[in-house]
Amino acid sequence: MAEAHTEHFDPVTHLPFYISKNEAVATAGSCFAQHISRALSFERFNYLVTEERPLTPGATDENFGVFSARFGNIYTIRQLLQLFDRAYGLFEPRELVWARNNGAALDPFRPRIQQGGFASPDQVVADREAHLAAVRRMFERCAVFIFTLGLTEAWVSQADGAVFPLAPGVVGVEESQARSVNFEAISMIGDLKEFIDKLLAINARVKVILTVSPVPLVATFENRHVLVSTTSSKASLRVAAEEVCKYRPEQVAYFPSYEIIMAGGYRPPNFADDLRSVTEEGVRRVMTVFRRHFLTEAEAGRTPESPIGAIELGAEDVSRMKAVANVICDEEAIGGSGA
Amino acid sequence: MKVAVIGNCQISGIVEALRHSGYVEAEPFSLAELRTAGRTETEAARLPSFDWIVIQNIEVIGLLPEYAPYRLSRLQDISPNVIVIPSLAFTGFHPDCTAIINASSKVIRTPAGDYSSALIVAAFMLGLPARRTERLFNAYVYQQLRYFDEANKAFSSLQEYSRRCGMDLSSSVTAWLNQGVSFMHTINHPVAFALEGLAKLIAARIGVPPSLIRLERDNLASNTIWPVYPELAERLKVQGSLLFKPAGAAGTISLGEMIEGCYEAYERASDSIQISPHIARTKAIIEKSLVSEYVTA
Repeated sequence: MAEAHTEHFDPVTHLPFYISKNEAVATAGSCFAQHISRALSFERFNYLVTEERPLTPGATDENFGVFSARFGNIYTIRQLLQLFDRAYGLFEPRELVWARNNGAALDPFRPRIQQGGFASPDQVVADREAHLAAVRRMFERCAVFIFTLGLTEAWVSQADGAVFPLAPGVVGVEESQARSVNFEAISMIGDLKEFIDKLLAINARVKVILTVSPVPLVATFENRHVLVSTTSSKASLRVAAEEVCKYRPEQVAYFPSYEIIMAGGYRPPNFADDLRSVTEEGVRRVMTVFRRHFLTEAEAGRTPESPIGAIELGAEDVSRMKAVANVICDEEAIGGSGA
Repeated sequence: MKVAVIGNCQISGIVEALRHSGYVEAEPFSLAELRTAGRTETEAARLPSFDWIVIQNIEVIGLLPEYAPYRLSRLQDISPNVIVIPSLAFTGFHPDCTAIINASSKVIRTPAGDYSSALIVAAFMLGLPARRTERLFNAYVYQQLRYFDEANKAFSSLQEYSRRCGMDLSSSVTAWLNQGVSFMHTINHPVAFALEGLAKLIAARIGVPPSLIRLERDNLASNTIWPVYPELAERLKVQGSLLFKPAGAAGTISLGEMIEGCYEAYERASDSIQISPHIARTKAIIEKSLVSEYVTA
C-alpha cells in the first residue's frame, strides 16, 4: 500500500500558469536541477540553450547543454543573484581568476566547467565574457525559468562577498581568500525577491518555477550532524520559495519536487542505496507530475505589443526634448541637452 | 514658385526634396551659416521676394538678436504666406545620446562630434574604468534608465510640438516607425525619408503634389550616425548595433573606442563639465544599481 501511494503521489493542486510546448524553458540550480534539465530535453518541452558550443579559443567542448548556459551548478540563491549582477555589469568581483597548483587558470564562478581549466587568465576572462552574454540571452529570451534551490551554505570571497560554487581547495587552488557562510532564511528571501524583480525588469513576461532539491547535504560547516544541517537548509530554502511565491503570485510558482521525493523518506525507490542520490525512478516520478500539471498542448498566444503612442511626460523629459528640438547645429547648445 | 526655407541643418534636405518636384525654386536660409557669415540681416532683406516662407519653430530665433529679422511676427509682416514647421527631433531611437557643455557653454566634443552618451558621462563621473563602462550597455541598465520608454516619450513630445506648429506629425511618425529602420541618424538628424515626408507636408500646403517630392541624397548621413542599441532595436524592430560613425568618417568605431575617446575628452574638460538634469539622473541610477560588496552574516 505504501509503495502504491508513493508511486502515484501527486501533491500539486493549483498552479498560476502553464507551459506551452512552444515556450522557451531555461533551467538553473543545484545537482538536482541537472535532472530537470535533462528530463526537459527528452520531453516535449522547448528547452532553451543559449550557449551551445565553445565560443572562444580557450574553451573546450565540455558541459554545454547541461544547463541553458554553461554556468555549472548554481547552489545558492546569492550565487544566482550574483550571476545576474555579473552578467549585467552591476557587480565586478575582485577575484576574477583562480590559479590552480598545476598552472591552469580557472573561472572561480564555474571552476569545473572544463576539466583541465584554461591555459591563461586571459582565456578565462574572454570565455567568461562570451558566457555572460549567453546568460543575458537566456534571461531575456526564456518564457519560463526554473530554478532549483540547493544549498544555504557556501564559500564567499572575503574581499567582496562573491560566492564561489565550491571551496577553492577542492579544485587545487590555494591563494583564494574564501570563507564559509550559511545564509539566513531572511537574507535568502531578500536575495530571491531581488533576483525576481531584476529578471522581470528585463523580461516582463517571464514565469518562474521554484523547486527545492531533495538531495541531502553531503557535509556541513556547522558543528552538528549533517542531517540536522540538511533539515535546517531545506526548511530555509522552502520558506524562501514560499515567501517569494507570495510576493509575486502571478509570476512565480512552487513545484514540490522535494515533497514528491521525500514522501517516501530517505530510501528506495526514490533514493539510491547510499540514501542520498535521487534515482532515475525518483526523477521520473517528479517529471511525470511536472508534465501532468505544467505542460499544455495549447500554444502560447503572443501578447500583442503595444504600439508606440503618446504618454505623459515628466518635467525633465519636456525640457530635455524641447532643448533637442531647439538645437541649431554648430551653435552653442541651448540648455545643454542638444547637440 | 519661390520658397524660402529657414532653419537648422535639416532644411537643406527639405529644400532638395522640394526642388525635385520641378515646380519649386527652393532656397535654404541656414541660420547657423548666416550667423557665422554675419549675413543674417542682408539675407533677410531678400525674403519679401519669395512666394512662400517656411520656417522651423526654433526657440533660439526669439532669443538671439542676430535672428530678429526671422522672428515670426516680422516674417508675417512681410508675407501672408508663412508656414511654420517643426524641427524634427526624436530621441526614441537614441535615448542615450545627448550633449554636454563646459563652463563656457561650449559643447564638449567626443569621437561622435557634439554628441555624448549619458551613460558614458555618468560612468566617467563615477570613476568607472572604461572596460567596466562597456559592460553597462545592456538591457537591465537601459531598463533602469527608462530607455525603453523613450520612444513613447519622444512620440508625445513631437506630437505636442508639431501640433503647436500647426503641422501635426503624428501619422507621419507612426508610418516612419513602421519602416523597419530608424528614421533618425541622431536625436536631431533625421534620415532622408523622414525629411522627404516633412517636405511632402509642406508641398501639400503650397499646392504642389506631394507625389512629386523626393529626396534622393541622405545628406545628414555624412555627419554622426549614432547606433540604435541592440536591445532597444529589437523592441523598435529596427537594426541594432553598437558601432558609432563619427562625422565625416567613412567607417565606424566600436563602443570600446567610443568610450576611450569620450573619457579622453572628459578628462581634458573634467573640471568644467556641466551636469544637466539628464546626466545627474543617469549618474544617480547607475550608482544605485552597482554593487561593490555583498554583505554576509
